[in-house]
Amino acid sequence: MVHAKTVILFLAFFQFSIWAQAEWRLNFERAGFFGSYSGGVTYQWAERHAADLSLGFYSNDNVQYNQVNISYRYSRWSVPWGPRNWIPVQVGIFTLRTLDKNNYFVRSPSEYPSEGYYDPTAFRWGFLYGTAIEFPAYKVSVAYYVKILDNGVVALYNNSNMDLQYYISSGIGFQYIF
Amino acid sequence: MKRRFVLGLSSLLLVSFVLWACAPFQDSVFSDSLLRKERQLNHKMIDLMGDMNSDGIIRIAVIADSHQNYKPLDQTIDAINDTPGIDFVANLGDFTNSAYNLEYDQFLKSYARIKMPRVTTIGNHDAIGAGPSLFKKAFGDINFYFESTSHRFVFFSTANLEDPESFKPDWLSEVVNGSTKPVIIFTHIALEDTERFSGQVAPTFNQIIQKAQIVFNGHNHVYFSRERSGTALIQGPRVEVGWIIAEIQGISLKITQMPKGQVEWFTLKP
Repeated sequence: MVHAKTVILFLAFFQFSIWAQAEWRLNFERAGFFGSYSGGVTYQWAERHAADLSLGFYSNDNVQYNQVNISYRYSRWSVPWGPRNWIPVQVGIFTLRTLDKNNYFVRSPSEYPSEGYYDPTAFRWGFLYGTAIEFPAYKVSVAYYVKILDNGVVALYNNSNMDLQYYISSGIGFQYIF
Repeated sequence: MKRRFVLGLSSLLLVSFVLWACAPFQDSVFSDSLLRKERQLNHKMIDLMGDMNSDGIIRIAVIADSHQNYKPLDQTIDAINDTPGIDFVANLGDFTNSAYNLEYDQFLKSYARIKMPRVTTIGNHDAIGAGPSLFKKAFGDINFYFESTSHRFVFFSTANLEDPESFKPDWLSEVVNGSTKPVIIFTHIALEDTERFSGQVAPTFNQIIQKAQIVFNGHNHVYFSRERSGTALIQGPRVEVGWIIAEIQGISLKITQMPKGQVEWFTLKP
């Protein structure tokens, strides 16, 4: 049922991108809080604006689970570099939503002592920063992202023994440009 | 204009490099992947413990409920490191808010700074999401005990609603009743918490409390002490408020609230 909803979401997204005559792409990413691997679609409705929707895969206690990732990216510059285009800076926001309803929740479940006993755990959001190179001749692009989670920002503020690495993640992204 | 553009790009490249250098590839905040390398910490620490009865006094530093308050946690750890004679540190759980892997990692980094043996029990906040799997990876068994020449120390999960699989009152009963030595229990939630423990569990826990010499708990964030059936029940405060030193010598227990230094004495059952 959960997977059916995800497929419907993907199809709706595809349909919208075709209707909007936007450039659309297939995306694949390794890590970056989007799962061990994630894959999905990107649509770019203007030179500087793009959005990604992907399904990520991760494991917990040797069981595979999925998460849905949505991000918006703003690219201020595009620099021609021989046959390539270099996008030196991408900034944006993202949100993650796990589809594991047994271990994570949006509303604190009723078995706990009181309403709102726990903060929601099933989704998080954060900021991303990246850089990308496009190879138009091969219709591919490669990107590197650094992402920080919302609760990481709070923890950094509360931590005198700060270690940035636990709240940020690198991600390598590939896109196929249709 | 071109110079400014080149300078801007160079700066961005530098920022990218710095971020790349300190940003590992973390798969997901929902997974049970840990970046820290520590594994089975409780078992390793128990193996490191020396003879805590050598000077006739067992000194235990007790901390609790640090959640994501790493600044007071680090300050507490510094204070514990500066206190001589501590045999081991007992952490009573709730060292995360949502049991995310990054919270476990950050806690482990602070926890590694403690210079003496340290043992941790799981809190209810640490047992949601991927928490149970993360705890087993980092610390080992969720319920366990170890012994000195004079006492049995039992660490028990009271996260009955969050991780029912690891909630084992019968195991606790066997371990307490089967001991020939006085038993000291470390839990996150108090065993007499009627909001959590009712039905068949309540009488089991009542019987366990009567048999134990001392029961430590956290969860409620403030220091609180009481005696029940001759058993000292000690509730540790959260680290923003302080921590406690428990000194056991024969049948006397001295509790010092830190950093206030306020002292309370208890006479223990043999």
